[in-house]
Amino acid sequence: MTKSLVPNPGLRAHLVELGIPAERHDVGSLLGLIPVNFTGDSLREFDVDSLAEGLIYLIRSGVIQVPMTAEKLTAGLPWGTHLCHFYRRVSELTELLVPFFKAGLEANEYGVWVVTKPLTLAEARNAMGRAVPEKQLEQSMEFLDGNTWYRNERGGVRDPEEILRAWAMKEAEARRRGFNGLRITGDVAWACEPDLHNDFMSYERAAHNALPQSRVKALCTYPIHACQPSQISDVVERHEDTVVKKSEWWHRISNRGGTDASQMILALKWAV
Amino acid sequence: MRVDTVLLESQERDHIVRAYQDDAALAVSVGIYLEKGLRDGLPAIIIATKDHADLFRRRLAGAGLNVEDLERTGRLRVLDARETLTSFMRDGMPDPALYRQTVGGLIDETLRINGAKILRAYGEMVDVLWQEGNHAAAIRLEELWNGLAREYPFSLLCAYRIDDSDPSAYAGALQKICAVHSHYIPDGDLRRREQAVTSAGRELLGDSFLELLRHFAKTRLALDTRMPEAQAALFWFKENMPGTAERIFQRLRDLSRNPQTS
Repeated sequence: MTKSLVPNPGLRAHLVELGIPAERHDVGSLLGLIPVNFTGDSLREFDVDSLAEGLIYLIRSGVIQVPMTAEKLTAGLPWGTHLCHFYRRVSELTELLVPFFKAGLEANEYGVWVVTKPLTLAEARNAMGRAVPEKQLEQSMEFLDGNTWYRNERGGVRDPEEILRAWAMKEAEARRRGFNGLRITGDVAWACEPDLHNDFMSYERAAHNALPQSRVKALCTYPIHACQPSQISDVVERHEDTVVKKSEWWHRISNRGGTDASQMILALKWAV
Repeated sequence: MRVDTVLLESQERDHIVRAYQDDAALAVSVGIYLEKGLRDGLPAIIIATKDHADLFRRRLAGAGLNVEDLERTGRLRVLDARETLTSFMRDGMPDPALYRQTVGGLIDETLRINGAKILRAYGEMVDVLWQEGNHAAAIRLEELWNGLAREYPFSLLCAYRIDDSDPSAYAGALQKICAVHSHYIPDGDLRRREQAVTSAGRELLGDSFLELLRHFAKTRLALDTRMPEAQAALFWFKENMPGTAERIFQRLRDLSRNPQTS
């Protein structure tokens, strides 16, 4: 018997109900919508009904939100948001962070982009420059060197309280200048280096506790290939939700069941 | 969860349930459970149908225990399930006071005359009620056993003649049974159950997605009852991905009919 190319009508109705349009119900599209690495299974004939059931479970149980565009994911975030993003390619940083800051500028939020290698300050600024007018960029956003912002003169991680005080000053200054609050990102490619990881996680824990009382929205980015499984769990535990990209979709994975989110990131780790 | 370990190392307040269809397979489990207790010097109680009681006696005798002597000295008490039920069933439901008097009295006496700190009990009055279709009474009786376990030190093994490779059993019956037990031991070959989940799951979902979903089966199963991982996966798939579960159950049936199928 030839395998069906789309799920049965009942499952298709559920998918539509969840906001996944009918043209994305074929096996290929469903594989793209599920945040799991299927590359090792590339020669397998998947069962489209089972894939649909699995995707419906993930969404209905609140493990993931319906896969979406970067614009949708970064719009309408409430104050105190603290997300982490695991990326596989450097290009994902600009794909996510440009709409993240653009949405902030449109909502009169001041933007601070803390940059470290492999992205450079110039690349980050140029990427934003292509998305928003130069004048707005100059008045409403700044770009900081991550090595100066997060690290001390000995190369270690700055005291978490010191970093939080610096953020609080940025927030107060933005409010004084008439902005509604602050939208920030820090790419910390070195945060999984063994002698820096624990100290940086102390900062993330302190930030996670402080953010709900602030008018700040934060998105922290980590290169997944540099992180060990236990480090991924550490990062996940210290953020509200996790963001990952697979194929053309952005996935927001709930961190409420900490081990579940870590398991999902691991299931995705080598996905292309 | 290793089934033999659960039976051998059963502790105070454990309330184990074993699904069965084959009397001989049930006798193996009951034998493992009771033999270990008796060899450790613990008294034991069997409340079973006559046929089963005789089967268990033969099993224990076959293991080298002197069953006659054990019964004569009160180390092993064997009661008929139906007769015992009549002593406390009223209007189709167990009467808590009469139950306590009958079963609580039996446990108290057995502990006392043996000077024991704990005993092992096997009971299938619940199975008698279940097979008669009186499911409510069976579950109520399980709750009364759990109440008794708060007063007396014993572990309990129950059995239900139920086909747990049939998906219809998962429409509520097995969940009700599990909800009043600490451990669930499925019927049949556990390796076959694992093979069905793994082989059908991989075909339908691929390795990575199956692995992820089995993680949820471990961490998000609504039941608190301890059970082998493959069994937890069957419960979880039936509840959350019923279409996929049907295919896994089909594979389980195929494997049971023809163990060479993979």
